[in-house]
Amino acid sequence: MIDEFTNGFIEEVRELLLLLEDDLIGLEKNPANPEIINNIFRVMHTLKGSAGMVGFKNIQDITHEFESLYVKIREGSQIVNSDIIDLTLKGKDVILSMLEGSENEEVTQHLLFQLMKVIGQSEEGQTGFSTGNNSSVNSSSVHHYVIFFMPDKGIFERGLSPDKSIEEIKILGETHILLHEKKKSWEKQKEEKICQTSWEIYLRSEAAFTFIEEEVFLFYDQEEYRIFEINPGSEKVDTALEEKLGKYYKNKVEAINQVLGFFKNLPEPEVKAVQNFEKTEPVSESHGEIIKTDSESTVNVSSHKLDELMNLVSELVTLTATMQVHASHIEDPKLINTLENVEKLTKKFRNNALDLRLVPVGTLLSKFKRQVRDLSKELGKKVNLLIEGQDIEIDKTILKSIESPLQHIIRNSIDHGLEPEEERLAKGKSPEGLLKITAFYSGASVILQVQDDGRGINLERVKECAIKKGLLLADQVVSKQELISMILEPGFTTNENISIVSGRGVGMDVVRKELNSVGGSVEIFTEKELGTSITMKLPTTLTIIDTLMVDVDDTQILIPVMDIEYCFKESNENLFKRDNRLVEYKNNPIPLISLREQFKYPASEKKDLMVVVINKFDRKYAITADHIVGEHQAVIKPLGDLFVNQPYFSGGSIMVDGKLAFILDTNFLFNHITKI
Amino acid sequence: MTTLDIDKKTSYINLRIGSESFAISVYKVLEIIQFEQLTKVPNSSDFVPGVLNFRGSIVPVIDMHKRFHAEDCNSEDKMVVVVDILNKDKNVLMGLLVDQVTDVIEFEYKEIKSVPDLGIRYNPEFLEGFIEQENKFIMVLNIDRVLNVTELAEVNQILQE
Repeated sequence: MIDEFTNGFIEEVRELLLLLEDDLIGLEKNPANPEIINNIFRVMHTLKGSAGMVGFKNIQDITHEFESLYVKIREGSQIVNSDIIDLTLKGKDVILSMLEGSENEEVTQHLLFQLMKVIGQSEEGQTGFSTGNNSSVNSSSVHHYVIFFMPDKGIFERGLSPDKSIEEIKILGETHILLHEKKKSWEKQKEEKICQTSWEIYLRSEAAFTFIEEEVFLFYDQEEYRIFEINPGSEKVDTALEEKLGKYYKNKVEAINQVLGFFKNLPEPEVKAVQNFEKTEPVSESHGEIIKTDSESTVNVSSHKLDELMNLVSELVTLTATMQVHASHIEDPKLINTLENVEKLTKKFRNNALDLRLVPVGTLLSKFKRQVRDLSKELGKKVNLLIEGQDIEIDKTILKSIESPLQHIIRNSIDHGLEPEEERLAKGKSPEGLLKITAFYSGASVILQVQDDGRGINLERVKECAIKKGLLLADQVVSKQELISMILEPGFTTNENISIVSGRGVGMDVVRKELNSVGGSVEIFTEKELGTSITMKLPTTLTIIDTLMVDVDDTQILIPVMDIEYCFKESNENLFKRDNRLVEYKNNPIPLISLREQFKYPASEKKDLMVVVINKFDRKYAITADHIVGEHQAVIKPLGDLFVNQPYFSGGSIMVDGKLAFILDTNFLFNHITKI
Repeated sequence: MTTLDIDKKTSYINLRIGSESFAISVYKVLEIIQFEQLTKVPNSSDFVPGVLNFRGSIVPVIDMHKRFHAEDCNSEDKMVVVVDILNKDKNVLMGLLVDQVTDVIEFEYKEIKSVPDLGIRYNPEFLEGFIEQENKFIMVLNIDRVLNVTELAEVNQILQE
C-alpha cells in the first residue's frame, strides 16, 4: 500500500518536473511572464507538499528554497536571468536524483549554497519591505479560494457525503460557507437521499490548488465542483467566476465585492506577515487571478491491466457481431434495433479502451527542449527549436521506444547538420539554426519529422565511405536516394567513420532497428546546404494494426497495410510460367513469393491471381494470394508458445464472425528472400 | 490451486482417445466444446490440427491421437477439452481433441494406482497412475506433462522442415 503510494508520488513528481523544465525553457525566452513564474512556483509548492507527505525530506527542503526564490521573483524583487534558469534547471536534476535515490550530497549542498546566495542578495537589494525572510515564505503559501460545490442529485447513491467533504475543506483553513438549498432543507434532502443543495465556500488556506482538488474532490465529477483562486487585493475577479456568481446573485458587482469582502471578514490569520505580503503585491498583477479549473489529474494503471481490458473489449465486439448474425435470422425489429445500439456502444467502448494506452507525443518532445538547449550551449550554436503537433497521441510503449532514436537524430542535427553562426551568416542563412520537430497523423500511422536547415548530408563522403566499406563498387552508379539509404545499413558506420562523415550517419542503423521493432520505418531526405529531414513513420498502437485480408486456399492471411505498396491482378500463367521467381513491377523485376508454395498448399488452379507488392526497408518483393478480401482492423493476439518456431506469422486476429486469421510476418519473408 | 487431499473425492473428466479411457482433473478443465472446424495454421505439424477462438484468445488444439499414437476412429462425438496448464510457471490454454467425453467420475486420490513399469504403451511420465472402475482401467493423465509446450513446439518445428 505504502509502496503504491510512493510509486504514485514518484510518477507524479516526474510529470511535474517535466512541466517544470518546459516552463523554465519558456521562461528563458520570456523572462517576465507572470503566468510561467506562477506555474513554476506552483510546481515547487506542490512538490514540497507531496514530498513532505511521502517522506522525501530532502526534496521538501530544496523545493522550499526554490519556493522562496520564486516568491521573490513574483514580488519583483528578483529578476529572472539565465543564472536563475540554470540554477532551477540544476535544481530539477537534483530533485530527480533525489527521487531516484542517486543523490550526490556535494552537488545538492553546492546548489543550496548558490540558491541561498541568490535569495540573500535579493533580500539585501530590497529594503524596508519584509522584516524577515521566513515571514514572506509563509505568507506566500496562503491562497484564497472561492469554491462552488454542487454535487449531483444522486450523490448519496455513489456513497459520498457532501457534509464530509465540507468538513474536509473546513480543516484546510479559515472558511466561510454559504448553503444554497432549494425548496427543501438540506436536512430533509439528506433524509430523502436526493441532493439539490449547492455550496459556496470561501477558503483561506495554505493548501495548494491541486491538493484541494485531489484530496477533497477526488471522487466528484468535473461538473460537480469549481475552484477559483482569487486575489483579495484586487478589485476584479476572473470572468468565469463572475459568470458563476451571476447565477447566484442578481447584482454581479455587488456579488464580487461581497466575495472579496468575505476574506476581509475572515478571522485574522496567525501570521502577521500575510498582510504585509498582500500590500507588497501590486494590485494590477494578474497572476493572483489565474484560475486552474481543468487541471488534468492522472491515474497510473499497469499495462497488463490495460491489455486485459483490451482483450475483454475485443471479445465483446466479436460477440456482438455474432449476436447480430443470429438476430438477423429471428427478424425481430426491436431486437435488431437494440443490438445496433449495443454494437455502437461496444465500438465506442473499444475506442475508449484503445485510447487509454495513448499518450500525447508532447510528453516526450518537451524533454528534448532541454537537450537542445544544453547542446546548443555546449556547441556554441544558436538553435531555434520548433515543435508542432504535441497533442498527437501514440501508444506509450512506442513513444518510449523512439526516445533514444530521436535523441540520436536531434544530436546529429545540431552537431553535424547545423552550422555555427558565422558560417550560416556567410551562407546568407539566418544566424539561428532551425530545428523543427513535427508530429501528425497519416492514416493509422503517426509521422514524426525532424527537419533542420543545416548543411545537409555530404553524399560524396557517404559514397567514399561506402566504397571503403565494400558496400559499393568504385565505379558503380547509384542514385541519391540509394546513397542515403546506405546510411541506414547496419555496419555502415563504425566509430571512426562517424566523425569523418561530415553529415550524418551516427548509428542510423540503430535508429532503423529500433523503429522496426515497433513496426515503424524511417526515411531520410537531404539537400546540400538546405538541410536534412528525417521522417519516422510509426503505428499509433501495437495492439491494433490496419491490415489487408487475403485468401490463400482456405487460410485467411492479414498483411499489414503499412508494408503494402501496390496490389494488382496477374494471370496465373504469366506469373509462374518462367523458371525464375520474379515479377515485373514498374519496369523492375522483383522477387515473387507464392504463399501457397510457402504453406505447402497445392498450387492454385485459378486463372488470375492477386499480387501484393510489399515494400520493406525500401526493398520490394511480391507475394501472391488467391484473392483479396478487404481491409481489416486487426487486434493482434499472440499465437502462443506452441508456435514460437513458426516464422511466417507475427500473430493472429479474431474476425468479427469469430473466425481466426493470421498476420503475415513481412520481416521474415524479407529475410527469407534475401537469403536466396 | 487446490490442495491435494488424498482422502477427499475429486472429480475427473472421463474421456476416450482411440479405444482407451483417460481421466483429467476437473481443476484443469475450463470448458468442453463440440468439435467444430478449426482454423489450421500453415506449416504446423499434423498433431496441431489448428487453433480456435476461445473467449477471445487464440488456443492451439492438440490432436491426442497423434500425441499418443492412437488410432483415429473417426468418432462422431469428437470434443475439444480446453485445459489450463502450467508451462514454465506460466498458464497456457490448450485444446485437446478427443474422441468422446463420456462422463465425470469421482474418486479419491488414494485410489489412483501407480503405473507399472512394464506393459504400458504410454510414456509413464504422461500418467499419474490409473484407476479401476467397473473392471475397466482408466488412465489418469498428468496433463501438464503431456502438453509440455516447449517439447511440443520443438516437434512442431522439426516436422516443418
